[in-house]
Amino acid sequence: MTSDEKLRREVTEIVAEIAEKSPDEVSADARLADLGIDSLDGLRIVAAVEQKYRIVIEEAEIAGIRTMQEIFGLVRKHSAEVE
Amino acid sequence: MYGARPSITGIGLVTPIGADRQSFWDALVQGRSGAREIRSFDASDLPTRIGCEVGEHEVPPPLRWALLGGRCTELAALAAVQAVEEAGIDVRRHADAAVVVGTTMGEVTQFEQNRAAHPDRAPSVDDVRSLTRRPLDVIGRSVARIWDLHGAVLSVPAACAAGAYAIGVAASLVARGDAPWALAVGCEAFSRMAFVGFSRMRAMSPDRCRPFSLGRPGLLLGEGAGAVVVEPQEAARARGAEVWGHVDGFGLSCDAYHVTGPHPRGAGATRAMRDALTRAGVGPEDVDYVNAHGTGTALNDKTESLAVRAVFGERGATVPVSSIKALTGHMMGAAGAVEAIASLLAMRHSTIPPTWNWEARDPECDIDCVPNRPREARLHRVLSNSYAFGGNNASLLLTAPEA
Amino acid sequence: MPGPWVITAAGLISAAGDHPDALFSRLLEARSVATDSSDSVPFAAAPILGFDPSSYLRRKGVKHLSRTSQLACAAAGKLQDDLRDRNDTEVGVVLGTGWSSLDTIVRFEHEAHTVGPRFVDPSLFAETVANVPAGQMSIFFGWSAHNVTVAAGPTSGLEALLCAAEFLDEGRASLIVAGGGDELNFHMLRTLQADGLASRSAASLPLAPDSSGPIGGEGACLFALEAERSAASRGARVLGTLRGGTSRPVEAAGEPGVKQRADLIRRLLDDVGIGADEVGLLVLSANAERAGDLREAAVLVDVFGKAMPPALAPKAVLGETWGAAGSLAVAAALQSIQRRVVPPAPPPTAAGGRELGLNLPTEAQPLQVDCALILDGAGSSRFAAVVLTR
Repeated sequence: MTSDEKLRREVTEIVAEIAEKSPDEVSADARLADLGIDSLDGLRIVAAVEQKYRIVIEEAEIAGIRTMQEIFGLVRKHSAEVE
Repeated sequence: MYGARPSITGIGLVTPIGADRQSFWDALVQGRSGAREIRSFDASDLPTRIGCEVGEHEVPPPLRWALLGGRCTELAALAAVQAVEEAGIDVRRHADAAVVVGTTMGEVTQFEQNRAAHPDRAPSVDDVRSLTRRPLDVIGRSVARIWDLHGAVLSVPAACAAGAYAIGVAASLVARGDAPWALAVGCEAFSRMAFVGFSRMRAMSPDRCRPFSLGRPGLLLGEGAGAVVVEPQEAARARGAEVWGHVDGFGLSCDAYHVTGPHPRGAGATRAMRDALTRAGVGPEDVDYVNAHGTGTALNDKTESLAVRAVFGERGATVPVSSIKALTGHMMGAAGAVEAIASLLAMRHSTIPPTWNWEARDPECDIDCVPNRPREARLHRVLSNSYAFGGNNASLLLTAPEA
Repeated sequence: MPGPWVITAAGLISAAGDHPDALFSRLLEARSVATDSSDSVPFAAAPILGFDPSSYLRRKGVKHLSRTSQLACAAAGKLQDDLRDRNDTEVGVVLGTGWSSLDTIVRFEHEAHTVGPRFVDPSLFAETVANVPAGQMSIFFGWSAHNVTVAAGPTSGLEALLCAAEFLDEGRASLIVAGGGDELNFHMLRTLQADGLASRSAASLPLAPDSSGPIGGEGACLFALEAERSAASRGARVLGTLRGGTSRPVEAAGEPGVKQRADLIRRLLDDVGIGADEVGLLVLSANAERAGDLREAAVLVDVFGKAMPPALAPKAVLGETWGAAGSLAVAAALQSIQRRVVPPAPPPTAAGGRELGLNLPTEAQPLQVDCALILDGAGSSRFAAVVLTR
């Protein structure tokens, strides 16, 4: 598994846990609203990935998060900075 | 209100912009902000470091003896003493007064101080003891002890609406004749927990609070206490007491929507304002000024503006609406009480305190937020709003004494 | 509080079960739920074992709620099953809680240090705020007339009912969901036991001479409170009638404390127009804190003397449930009134009570008069009482 696949799997698991679904139900193209994720869940997701990857996601970036791809993108972006 | 007309005959406050009503009012009209680098705790590891603290305060020994709690209780007591002294009621003769306290976190200062001494250690019996010995109702009981009051002591921890709840419940008690007079206090002590909490919820401004302004960055945390003495109008008249105003309407509602976010169309806020008006027997056209909750967060100010438009209809674009949180920060449990007092002062001075720090119009806040300049106006009726976590909404309809 | 106000539904979660019938069955057995140690707390306690909030609340996010929120919402769910033809926008909420979110405060503070203030879970902060359990109830069930949390220490449960009665009188809702809830947690119980405020033995019983303090418990119990006319128009069954109540801080100790409480009871009975000889059942708040138990007995002897009605001591079975205690006591009284039965007390409680002039039966006996006086706050500096009839 490439490191990117690993990242996507981990993030999917985090989102699935918060959405109270199984990871199989969370596709890589999913929209968060379709998964029943509200603003507080969104904050929990951001908090969880920040904690896991020791990154800080900015205020302005959070407002724009609507899809799984966007979350992957933010984690990739900030993890690269950390490295 | 049904029954006796609840009248406010004493006010007291301790705030980040003044611990007496003259300094407080001067700050409101001069734009003196209470925002500064936090000193109550070590904020070096926090993403932002600006808050509105009261700073050092003196608690005279006779008062200290009565108090069973810590900082929050002290602030409450200082405000309460001002209010009771001003009201001039013969407390010994009328000792079965009720005390109603509103707060968010209650007494957590000692707990936080204990923990700060050993942050990496797991919470100990001693740490937790500082909480179990100071449950929420310790503040009200302490305040009652100052004068040996033996009426009901109620605590309504309604988070950021608690101060308004305290005044409204106290007014209801007096209206029903359940107490000869009542003391209502809203109070909050600055806490690292609340600071971290609001920071993590991305609600905190890094520098200034700019209610209703385009691109507003969020709230600033504050602390303080506001207290009012409420008694029946007839009783106030009989003893020739000066009246600040009447609590003619206490409106409530619950968003039943989200624990931290308001109803997107401001449905609960609309309902609470309308409830206050209905109970006061007046219409929106009778309201001269709305003292807003106006925290400076993107969401609150937008939904509150929608609610104002819904309640006031066409006039919603021009009825003056301002928030003092630009200067005081969000005093949480104290906010609703201090802002009610600000409303009374506005009526007394015939001046609307502006919304300071306003920079640019937000089309989603399509109201007149009285930006940056105090506005002279005869004010007969003011609506004061407070909204809290859990969708707890309260509005007070306050009427000037001559009306 | 003019009224009278009727109770038309009840929802509860307790260590004796999640239905008023289950609660009463356990009371009839006169058997304590307390254990000397359990998975949830390694101390003597009366926890609700195996409480699974998701079995009561079928919505996402339940596991993130504080235990107090979970208990309150689960009890609300039980009650909601019984509400028919009500408009949720006309339903209000008044919840009493003594400790509220103490455990979450401890957890949030600690987590803010261990994972750091930049990484701590933000939703945990919301659950540190005292009014959030009540707020969650409204969010789950859409009750939007108003939402109020009342904090009156151990008397929070009855205080909430009285507050709800005032709100009904003010026309703030056509029906109010009112009652109390408090969770048991490791931190709190460990500290209370260290301070001698909770017993280290599961065998400590109210009124028994060798009692060693209250046994920490938990629960939530809520009622639907409304006007008789409102209940009739919904075709709702009346479980009981709230005739009146009182709630005050009082002297913690000594003769003045006894007199204060006795006077409050006398004034209450006078206000509701019921004579001492018309009270058919006493529901005690005695919780095995010896001084408080003695005082409660002395108060009742002062008021009722030789004409002592039979009494029920729910904390002999449930332990001390703090903010939930008053409401659970009301639930027990409602069952007693409906079934016309006074449950027995465990022998040490019955014998101890008899020594103090109280009348606790050792076997279930018929209830002669459908009127109950429910007390709250024994052992504390708060006193509350309500009068219920059929």
